Amino acid sequence: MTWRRAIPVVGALGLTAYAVLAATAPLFLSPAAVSLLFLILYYTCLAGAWNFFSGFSGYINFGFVLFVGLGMYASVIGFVDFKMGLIPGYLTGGLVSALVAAVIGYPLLRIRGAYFAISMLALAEGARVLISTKYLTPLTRGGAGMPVLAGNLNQKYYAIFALAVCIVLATMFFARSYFGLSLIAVREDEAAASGLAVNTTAVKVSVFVGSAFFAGTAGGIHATFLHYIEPFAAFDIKYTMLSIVMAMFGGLGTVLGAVIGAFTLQLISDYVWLHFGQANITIFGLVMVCLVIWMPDGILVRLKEMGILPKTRWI
Amino acid sequence: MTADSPILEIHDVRKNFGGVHALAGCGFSVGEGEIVGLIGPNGSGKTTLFNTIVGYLPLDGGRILYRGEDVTGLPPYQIARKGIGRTFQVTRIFPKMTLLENVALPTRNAAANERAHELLEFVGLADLQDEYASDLSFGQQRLLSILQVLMLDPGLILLDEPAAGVSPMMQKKLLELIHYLNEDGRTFLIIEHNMDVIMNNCERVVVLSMGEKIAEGTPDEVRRDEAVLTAYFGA
Repeated sequence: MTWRRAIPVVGALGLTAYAVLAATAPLFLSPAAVSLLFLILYYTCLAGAWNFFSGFSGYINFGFVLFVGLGMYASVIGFVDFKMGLIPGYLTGGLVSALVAAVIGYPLLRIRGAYFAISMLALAEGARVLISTKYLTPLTRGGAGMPVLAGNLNQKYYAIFALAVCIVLATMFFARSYFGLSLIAVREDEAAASGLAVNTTAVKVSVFVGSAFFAGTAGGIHATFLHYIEPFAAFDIKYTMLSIVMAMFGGLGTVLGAVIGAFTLQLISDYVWLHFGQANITIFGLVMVCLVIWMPDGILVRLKEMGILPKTRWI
Repeated sequence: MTADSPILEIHDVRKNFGGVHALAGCGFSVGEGEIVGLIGPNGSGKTTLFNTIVGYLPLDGGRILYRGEDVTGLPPYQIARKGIGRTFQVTRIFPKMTLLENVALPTRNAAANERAHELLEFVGLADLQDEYASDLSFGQQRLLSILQVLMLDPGLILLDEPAAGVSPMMQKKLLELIHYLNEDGRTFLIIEHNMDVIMNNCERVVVLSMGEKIAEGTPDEVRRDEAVLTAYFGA
């Protein structure tokens, strides 16, 4: 059974090589290649932020783009209207999303399953419409959108790289903590967890806020990469869908699942887009179907269940 | 034998589901250090009573006191932290968490894992501590759920049919564990349909029927009680 032993070794080497490449890419790669890596890392952040709450809690967030889009708008407004520096602008995006998550989390996280999913979906759509209305137009410029110029490619690249590292480390720390274990217990059996002294509401709301902060910060960084945002682009449902698919592909409730999912699927998506254009979306749908059939919890969870990887929360 | 220093006092509790009076003014108390059996025909309100004691179901009337303190209406996690633990009729462990994680969950301090390991060792499950709980047999899951409750360091443990559906050997092991913990100062309130288990292990029995207490006493007294016979076998 040597291949069983080989998988963790090859995986660890691959991830190390990828980490070194990601850390040094701007030093020797072309701007086009750096841009591709930027997108991979951006989706690592999104999938990681989504997994941080939904992967652990089992509360499937279908309105995740709410926090991405709000983060985009908040940081762009910060840059354009308040002349913020790069890092304060990005953090503003994260903080505004976190604040909104705290306000809606308390009532919303009392409902489960399809009801939670639909409510979040509706809120995300509602936010997109609200941003375009005349009431908020003085702030958001409505459908005309907002151009933004901030930072150069390398600065943005290292910003998204740093955020991705932060999210992975935060997940690693979190998954091993009392909080992480409590949230997994909520996913497994919420009522039983509350009977075992877990304050389920407090745990759910605080991790929801953390997830929104990461999503908002990533949104802010991506907005400067795009140079221009408007409501449909900022609240594009594809950000929700890709986050879910990538997190599911890599492994729900794992530390490295988002890294693996974003890397693999963004490369595939890029390749398919180059060669088959819009077939991109169909192929993603097929990936999703295969996932649900063969690995509903993702690669890493599957490997843990097969005993190829240890059942530790570090990975 | 009535309780002189009750650990649990249940006063006239009421719970309705639509038009059904699941608990219709039920009251009794459990003394510190007792093992009390709670019996009654199916649908008599036993599990509903457990659910109200631990805060899963809000009461429609009445009060519940734990060690003299009113715990009515508190959320489940606060009641658990005060020291009331319960297991379920259908065992509810966390399948995709390891045994160690399952047991360590209720305690937050740094020593949680060591204590959890000790408990698993005590019941002979330590070798499996890094495996998922879903890999365990039904009886082992039952044991695991009792260990989880023990991590709360509870004064009062509510067991919902602990002997149902487990092998005679596992049943013996569970009962030994209960007596061991009882000598350690923990109080038990046990729902059980297996009359041998009730008669041989409980000092006192409370009988529910239609959401009310219809009898209370030693196993022998209850066995001869007219109202109990009527409730179980009809007039």
